[in-house]
Amino acid sequence: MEEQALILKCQSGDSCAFEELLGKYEKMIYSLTYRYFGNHEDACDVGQEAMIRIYRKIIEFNGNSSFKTWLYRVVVNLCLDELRRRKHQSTSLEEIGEKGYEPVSGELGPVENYENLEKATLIQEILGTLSEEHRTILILKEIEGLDYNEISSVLNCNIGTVKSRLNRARDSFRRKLSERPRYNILAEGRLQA
Amino acid sequence: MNCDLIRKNLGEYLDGEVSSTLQIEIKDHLKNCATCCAEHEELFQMHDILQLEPVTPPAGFGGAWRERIRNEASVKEEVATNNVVSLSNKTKKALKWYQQVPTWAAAAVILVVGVFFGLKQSLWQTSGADELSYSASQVDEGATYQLKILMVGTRSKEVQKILRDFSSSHEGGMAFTLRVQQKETAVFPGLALDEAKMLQEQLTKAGAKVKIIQE
Repeated sequence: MEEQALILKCQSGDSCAFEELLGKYEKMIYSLTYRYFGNHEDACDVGQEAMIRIYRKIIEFNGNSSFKTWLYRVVVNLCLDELRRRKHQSTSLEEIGEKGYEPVSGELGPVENYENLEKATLIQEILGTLSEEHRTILILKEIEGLDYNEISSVLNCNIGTVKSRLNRARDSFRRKLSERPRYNILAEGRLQA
Repeated sequence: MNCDLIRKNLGEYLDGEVSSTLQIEIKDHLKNCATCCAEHEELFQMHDILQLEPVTPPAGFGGAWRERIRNEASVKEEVATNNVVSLSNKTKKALKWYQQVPTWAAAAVILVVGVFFGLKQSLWQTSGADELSYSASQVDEGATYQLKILMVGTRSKEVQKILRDFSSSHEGGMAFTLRVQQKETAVFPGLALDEAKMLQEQLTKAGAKVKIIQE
């Protein structure tokens, strides 16, 4: 069934259609929540909450943006809400970082897989130290690969804001990356390859 | 284009979000400027390191959210059913109430409507120049009128002055006191219609309520 037809069925309250539709985006949603929280436990909890929120809000989807962009908006907002809630509960971003970042398993060989795990863990660590604003825009642009228009739609801001925020976020990420000794090892490995 | 401008646009250049003209300019500049080229290389490395594969959810994730959606759907359905039931009960109660009191409700409505129209009719006859002209049209040309004050209002001194002045120029005028504002007080009998209307106009402007009655 086409996506448009599935969305209409979801909006009329068909939960089976919802499972079919969101099944296609399950990995994207999980991955996005993982990038915010850096561990599977939180990603599972927030990912499930995201599904519930989408289920409740899908009636509001009016087709002004693509469904995927709309999903990003709902999930990003949920992640930010959760981060703020935790912040209010005196759990700083640093403390979340200290909780540890679980390595993400991949499907590559042992050596490549190890390098990828190292890299992924390092990135999660750095993302965890960035402000919500910088973390969000880097996740959307660099990891999720959205273009400027899509990001402006997800974040409900203009293209100019996207550009300037992205520049600042990249500067901040680069600074923090260069401070990590492990980065140099990874960079050397990449250059040799 | 200078180095500052080039560096400012390097991010957009990397993302492929610059115009084709700017893209050519930046590309040419990078060939000849080692500093900007190094900056671009660093930016590219960061971009490269951030290229991560999507995270595969653990085995239980799919089942967990699907179960929660099913629960949510069943709760939603239950709430909807309860709403229908409660609405139905409310409707029944409303109908029951209506059936129990039709007689007194109808009587009350009739009473309220009757009082409202009666009051309106009374006011219509006793206030304003337009109402007077309606009354005047019902009487003879040679008839005489009596002006009564129904209520003096808050500007009693002004009203008294008007009455005193009128009294001094009107032979048949009678002296009076305004002790009780709410009391209907006969003031001037034997007035021609024009005189009565003129006095009424002055008194109304001063905030009093007056009535002209044909004698």
